[in-house]
Amino acid sequence: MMLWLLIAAMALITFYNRYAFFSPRLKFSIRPEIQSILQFTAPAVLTALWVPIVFVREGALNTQWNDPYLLAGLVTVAVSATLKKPLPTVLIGVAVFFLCSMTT
Amino acid sequence: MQGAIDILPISIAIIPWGLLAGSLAIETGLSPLQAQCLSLLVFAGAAQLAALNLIQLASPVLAILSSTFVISSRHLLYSALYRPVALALPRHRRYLMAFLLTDEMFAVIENYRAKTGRFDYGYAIGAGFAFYLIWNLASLAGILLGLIIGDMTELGFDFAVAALFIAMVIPAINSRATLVAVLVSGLLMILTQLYTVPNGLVLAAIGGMFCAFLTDRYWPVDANKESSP
Repeated sequence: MMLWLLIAAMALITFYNRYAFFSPRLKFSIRPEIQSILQFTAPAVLTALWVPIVFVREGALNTQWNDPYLLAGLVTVAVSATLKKPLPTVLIGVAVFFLCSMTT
Repeated sequence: MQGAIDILPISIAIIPWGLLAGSLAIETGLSPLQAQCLSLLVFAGAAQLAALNLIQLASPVLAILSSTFVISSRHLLYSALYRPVALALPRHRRYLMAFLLTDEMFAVIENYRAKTGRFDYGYAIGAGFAFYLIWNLASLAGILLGLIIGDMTELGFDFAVAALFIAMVIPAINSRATLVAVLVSGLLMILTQLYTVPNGLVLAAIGGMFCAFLTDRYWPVDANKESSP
């Protein structure tokens, strides 16, 4: 029973975070300044999601050059900047990651 | 549907996470139905995994719920970004779009918007629903594996997700302002992780967005024009 209540509460919280600004009852219109800040949401949030996976290991800066995450992450950034095509970039990145994991 | 096709690569990348979420829920002591409902109703991978870890540590309910809020609070940014398009939709469509709104759906819609210059509701829902389906099927497979095999440990699944976000962010850097957004939010994210600042992700993202806005306003040089005079 406790677990069911917990699941329901979690569902409400995640839905709330996704719906909050969709509500017309929220009386405010987004000012042009805020609108132009929001156009940078994608690069900023997505970067904040991948950077710690590559550069942070157990609460410290990842300085092990043979670490598969760091090595394959840097390779993926370089490949992405060169090819500019998502799918081949991901395939090469993941292949490099597994190669590094096997050799270290 | 185009949206469903475009979200397929990311959906495949998160299958291991779905397997993990399903098997971890069984290992934590949820019934198979509860485990599936977690993916069906909460539908937030990182928040689900964090909650399961906290339940295993016998954490208080308030701690679990606040972790859910903190981890999923980045969705508030997406919610604000899509407010203008959402307000133009009837209520049931707003609910549906909010329910399906994930990092992955957001990434795919923004990619589409960058290419076509417009928001398409059918495209967004197609992408969101395909992702919902695959996440839940992966969770179901994880639940079954959890019941049969037991413990499934992490095998570097997180890298596939990181590679995917890298592959979407780097080609999108088309101006000095976007470059600033990426560099500042990345740097702030590392700092908040090193000093365990709560809600670091949202702080880092807002910091990056704000610096990009300032760059755009006071130093607005197009990076492409600059490199090819």
